[in-house]
Amino acid sequence: MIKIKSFLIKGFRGIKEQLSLELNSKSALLFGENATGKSSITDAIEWFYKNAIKHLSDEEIDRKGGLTALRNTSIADTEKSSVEICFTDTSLDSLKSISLRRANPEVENSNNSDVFTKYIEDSENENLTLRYEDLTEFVLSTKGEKLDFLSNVIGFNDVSNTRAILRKSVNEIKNSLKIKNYENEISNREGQIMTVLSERVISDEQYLRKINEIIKPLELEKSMSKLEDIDHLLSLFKKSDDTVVIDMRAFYYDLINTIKGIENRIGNLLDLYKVYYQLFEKIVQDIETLKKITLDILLEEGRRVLKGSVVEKDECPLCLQVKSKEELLKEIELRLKSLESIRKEKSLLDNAKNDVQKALDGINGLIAGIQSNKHFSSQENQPIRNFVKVLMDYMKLITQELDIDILKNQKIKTKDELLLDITKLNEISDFCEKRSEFLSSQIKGNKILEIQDKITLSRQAYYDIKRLKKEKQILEKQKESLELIFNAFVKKQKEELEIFINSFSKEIDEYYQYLHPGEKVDRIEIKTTEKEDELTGISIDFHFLNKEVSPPQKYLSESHLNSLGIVFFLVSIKAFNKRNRFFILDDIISSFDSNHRKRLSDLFLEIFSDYQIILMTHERNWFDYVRHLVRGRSNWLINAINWSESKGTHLNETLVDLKKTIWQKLADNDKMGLGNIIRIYLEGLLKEMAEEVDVYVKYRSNEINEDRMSNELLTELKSKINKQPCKDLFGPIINKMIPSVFVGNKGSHDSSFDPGIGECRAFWQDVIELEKLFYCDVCNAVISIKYYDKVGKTIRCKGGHLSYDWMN
Amino acid sequence: MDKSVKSGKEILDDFFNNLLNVPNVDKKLAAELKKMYEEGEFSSANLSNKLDSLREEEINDKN
Repeated sequence: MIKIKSFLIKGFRGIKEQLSLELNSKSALLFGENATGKSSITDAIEWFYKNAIKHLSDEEIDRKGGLTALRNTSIADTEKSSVEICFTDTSLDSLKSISLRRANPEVENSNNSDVFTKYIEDSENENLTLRYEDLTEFVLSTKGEKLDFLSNVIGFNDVSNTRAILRKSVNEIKNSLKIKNYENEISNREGQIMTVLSERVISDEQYLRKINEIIKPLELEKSMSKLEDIDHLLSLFKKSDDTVVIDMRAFYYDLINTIKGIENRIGNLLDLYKVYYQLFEKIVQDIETLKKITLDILLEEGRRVLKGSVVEKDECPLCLQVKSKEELLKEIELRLKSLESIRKEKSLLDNAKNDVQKALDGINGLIAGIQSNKHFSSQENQPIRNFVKVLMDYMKLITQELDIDILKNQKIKTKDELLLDITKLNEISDFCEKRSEFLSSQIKGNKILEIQDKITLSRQAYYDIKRLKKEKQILEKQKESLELIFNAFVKKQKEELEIFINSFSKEIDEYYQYLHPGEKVDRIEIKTTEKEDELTGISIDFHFLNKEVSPPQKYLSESHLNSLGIVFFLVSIKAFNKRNRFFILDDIISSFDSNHRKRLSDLFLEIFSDYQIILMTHERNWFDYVRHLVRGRSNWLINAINWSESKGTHLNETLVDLKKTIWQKLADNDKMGLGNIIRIYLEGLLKEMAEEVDVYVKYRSNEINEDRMSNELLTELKSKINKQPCKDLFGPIINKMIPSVFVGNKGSHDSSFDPGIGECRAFWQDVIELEKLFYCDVCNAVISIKYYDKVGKTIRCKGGHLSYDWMN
Repeated sequence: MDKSVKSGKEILDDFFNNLLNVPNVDKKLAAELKKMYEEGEFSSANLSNKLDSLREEEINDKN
């Protein structure tokens, strides 16, 4: 996983010149008073990854010119603001900059490789920075927002979408079964067989037996043994004008069944239309926003084009205006995001419209079936044609309502305004029945025609029943399978979410208890809330004074809520950060008392010891406590953030930096300021030695504790050394240094102190000699009382490479 | 965090890989759904069309 090797920030936010930190994967403890610009570091790193800074409003940094707000106000327009980060994986090193070209800010990344792009995409959802003001963001968000947050981070949106597709499919099939109303359709045909054959028929065998009974008077050589025999028999009947009567009776019978089906489907159509109407009415309230989504396709396409490799120049591919590609992409994404909610509602409306259209198509199919029958155009069937016209006009009426463009006309008819006069359906059924009876009377007495009529009508109904039963069975089989799949999916989703939530809850509770042992809050749990089997949110429940309660803001103090916020952040890091092994904490402990501050420090060092932590604070006591904890740990750096008018926010130079500068100045024979730099270096070195070998100086309050000067420290060091068996090793060099003009009193760091280059060179040799006695080159650290060997009575470095006899 | 916590994609991969093992499920339908998911074609419209064509196929097959 990725850690930071170094960063270099120039001209960004409060940093005027540059701020560089060589971390080499180490953690850093940075102290800075308020208003020294600690947050500039957090801002820079956040902007590097997210291309935005959350605590600055979108408008401030995203509108044209907003990027200039990220540039330090006093740098020249010709200078770039930049954030350069080098990582443990060098292929990800990149310098991201903002430059002003023709007054337009442009963002550029020096690394445009696919590997880097993927890394930034992966890091988008990772928790990398935490500020005091963000602490309770998750804790205080609504249940739905919590669910959205977690769903987004762990990719549960795809799971929810898949579940919605399966659910929709199951519902469509159920609806299809309802619309087709197979029971009714089958029952109608069974009634038709009953009328024609005066007997209920439920099997092929029974049907064939009945047909054989009917055809007995024909004295055929062979009886009917299978359904195909009946088809063959019907083809043998002579075609005559009278047989047309039978054919027409079949048409009327069929039409009666179709009309019953149409009535059922119109009821369903109107139900679906009602849903469409309600959604239409809701969306129309926010028509201005809806109008904006007409640009969706253009924006989506723009995003696709910009993400691809087609556009290389920093200009808009449409208007050719000069603009950073990255900035343009960000603008498009923000615009798309702002339309998300209305897009969802529009999608529901489109789905409802689609459902109504499908129902219309089904009815139109039945109408087309009526029209295609050869008897439809018969002279005597004018009432049927009139009825079909009424029906088609009705379908057209609903289609017209569906075609109304919501952006142009904001009113559609209600369901009640679209009701069909049902008596028209009954009238046409009555007409068909009467015509059928009339035709039946025409063939009465003609035995052969009567037999032919019975076989034709019953066969049509019987075949319909078989077809309907088969369709129903296939549809039900699909419904059952889809329900099984949907249920299995819901079970799987719940199980996996449960594992996640339980694991998440367990760690939140564990860390919280670490910070607040034995207090009134325990058993913290993340719980899902559901409505009609759908996940609707996530709540945080816990036991307060042994009673289960929620939400936290009702029962917990500000500092406890902040603890919960920190805990959530830390657990999220472990759960979701898959690429990065570092995080930044920016002044997060303001509301904590000293006891909880200590516990929090212990938590970081104990549980997150394998993470790179950049910890910034303006709280001196806490800084001192953490400094004490990490003292001697080679994987921690300690520094202070300062602000000056000339440099803006900057870090104190480390001893390593100072040493480099001194060697360079000596090599260049450059005495300018060299004496003071050597003094500062010596002070830093002596402070480190004093801390490690337990040199005690006079008590001073914290504010001026750092102001110890070299002469005070050297004198006390001498006093300590004089009591040690190794005093002869250290004494000469310390004695030599004490009277030097470089070891001045407080107030001597002034411009009147101006030693020559020779003096500097000579004193620097003394400093190096002193340093060599205390400093181990292998461990890169000074000898320390922490590694005191009680048996051998020696003080040594961590690795034991450098040691001296010592009385403790 | 427990190692068995899965991402959304892992959950979906897992589910569709085991779809044919759902008890009493129509194997042909399950196989088609799995194929649609693997090909990135799992959408409402595609599923609806697939169900229509499977029904039609079955009606014609046995007629």
